Amino acid sequence: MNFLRNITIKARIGLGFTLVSSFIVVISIIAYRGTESSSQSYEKYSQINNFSYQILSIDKSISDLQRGVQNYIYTGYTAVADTANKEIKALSAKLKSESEDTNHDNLSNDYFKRLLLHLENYGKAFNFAVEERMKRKVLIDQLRIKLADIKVGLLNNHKAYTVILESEKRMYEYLEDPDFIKVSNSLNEIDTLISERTSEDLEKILSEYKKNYFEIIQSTRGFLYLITVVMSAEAQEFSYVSSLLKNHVLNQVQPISEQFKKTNTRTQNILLVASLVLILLAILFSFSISNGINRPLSQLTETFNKLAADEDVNSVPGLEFKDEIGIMSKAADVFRQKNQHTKDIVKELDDKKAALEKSNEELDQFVYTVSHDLKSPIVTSMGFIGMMKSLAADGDSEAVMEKLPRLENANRRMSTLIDDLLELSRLERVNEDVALVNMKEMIESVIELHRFKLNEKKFSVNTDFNFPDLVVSETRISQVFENLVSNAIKYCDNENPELEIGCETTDNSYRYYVKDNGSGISPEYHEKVFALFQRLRKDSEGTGIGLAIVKKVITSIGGRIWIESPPQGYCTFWMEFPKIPQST
Amino acid sequence: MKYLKIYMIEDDDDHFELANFSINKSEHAEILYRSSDGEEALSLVNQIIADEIEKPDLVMLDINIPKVDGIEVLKKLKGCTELASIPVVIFTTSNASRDKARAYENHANSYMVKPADFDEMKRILALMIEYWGNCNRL
Repeated sequence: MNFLRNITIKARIGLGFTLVSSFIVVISIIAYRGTESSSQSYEKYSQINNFSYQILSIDKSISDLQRGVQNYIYTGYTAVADTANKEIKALSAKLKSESEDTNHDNLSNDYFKRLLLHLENYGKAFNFAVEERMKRKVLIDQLRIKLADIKVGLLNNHKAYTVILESEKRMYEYLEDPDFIKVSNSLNEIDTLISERTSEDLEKILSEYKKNYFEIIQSTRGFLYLITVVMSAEAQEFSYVSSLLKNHVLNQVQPISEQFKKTNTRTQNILLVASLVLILLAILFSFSISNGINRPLSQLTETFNKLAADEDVNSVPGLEFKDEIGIMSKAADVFRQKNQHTKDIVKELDDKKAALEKSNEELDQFVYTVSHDLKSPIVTSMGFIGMMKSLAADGDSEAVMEKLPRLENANRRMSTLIDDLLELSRLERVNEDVALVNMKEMIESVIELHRFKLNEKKFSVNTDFNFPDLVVSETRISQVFENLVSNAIKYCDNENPELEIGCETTDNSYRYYVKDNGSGISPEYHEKVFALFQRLRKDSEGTGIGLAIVKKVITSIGGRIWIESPPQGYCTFWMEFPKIPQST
Repeated sequence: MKYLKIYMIEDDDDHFELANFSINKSEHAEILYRSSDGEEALSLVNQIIADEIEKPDLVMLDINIPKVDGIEVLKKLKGCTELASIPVVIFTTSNASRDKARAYENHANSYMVKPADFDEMKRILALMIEYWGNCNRL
């Protein structure tokens, strides 16, 4: 799904809708094609149905016809025969047209032709039968006339009369129910009568009667043969062909119905699958959209809220996206950067403000102490001048001369103070001669410089240690050691004073120290001594700037200085320098 | 006018000499004791409280003194019933308002800035002696 990130949300929505819409169109086409095929199948099916109905109606016509024929056989009415003939003609015409119908397949047309043939044969047989029936009727009429004659001639011959009557009765029975046994008996009896030769006339009449009687039987037999054998066979044949035709038609229905079912099932299946795919696609699409919008949006909202609340935001989510979310994320990131920038600026300003405040405070303190310490010698010198004037006015020149060194001293103090202050202020500004300093040489030269005073106070000096070189300003570092050494000389109150300068090495620093065996400094002054103009003793000649300068030099090169002075004596000034190359 | 015996706490010898000279000139006062740093002053105050030595009529106190700050000495003086009535005059080079505020907050009676001009110093010290010498409460 990540490739979607490279296109805009608008395009993504468009793509999704297009996909879903195309799928809907595809489903519609499938459904349309399905119903079209179904309706085609249905049309075919209905055609065949219609066809089979016609076949059934032909069957029915044939049954009707057979019934009419049967009716005729029993009744012998010519009207009935005419009707049957008409029906045969009508049916023939129908079959003929059907057999020539090009809509039917060849086999159906063949069947129709065969039906027509059988119908024609049936019709012919029926016409023959009708002829036989007419002929028999004529014969029966003739027989009746002859019977009347015979009966009159046989009134005296009781036996013959009975035979004739019996034969007449049997004939009527035969006409009702053609059982040849009955009439054949009568024929035999008539033959017997004839053979008795009672009279020539009678013999002649009886012969004619017998001939007539026999003709009726013959005619009935022919008629019955036509009806029961020929026509029946044709009707049978007709039914058979018609059933073949029906089967043929039904066989056509079977594949169509199967095709119909198959098409329907296939359409249904395709539609089902397509619908499922469509639903899946829609779900995927909405998921993609919501996933692509909702989650990053809520994350972004959270980020914006954080930004608005001025909280720290390390990274903005969604920056890698190339869509609208990505654009928003970029905007948020700009905000974040600006926020961060503002914060940095504010912090910088705060730091600067704090530094400025501290510097102001220091300046205040500086001005305060400077004004006091500068004013003090001015008060002294001015005061002494006034006092000397007053003494001079009194003529006490000796006292005036006595005061002069005090005046001189005050002025010297002022001058030193100004020099020291200048020195201190120069520390702030000048970065000079930073180089690799041979500390051993430097320390030895400092000792040499103070050799006179050290000897005077009978100091025992120990500098016999290993001194690693430092990258510092030689002027400054020697100033530091000069200050510390001169302080030791000034304040060491031991009767057998000792001075030791040494160095210890730690993992990441060098610790130089200057140690004397004086009574030391109380812990409450360990910090204070490094402040400007702090003097522990009123009688000392210092200005209270020396240690301030020392601390400033050490801290400006990243080092630190502190005092170790246990109550039992000793005073050690520790100076720690980092091992990394110092830069001032 | 009462003759004032003054206790002066002053670290600067020169300043002490100038003040002493001026006070002596007035002929109505003298410096009874002098302490030159805070520690010394506190122990002397303790002696006064213990009645081991005579009480001064007036205390002149410099604020910028070594070891113990002058304000601490002022607190000690004003914090004890026996000495609270002794007027304390701050006599210092500092003209800083915060020093003045700290002094008065701790019940200093007066605050005088050491003038550079010697005549001026004589004049204000004479005025101080006159004022406190005539003050009824002494």
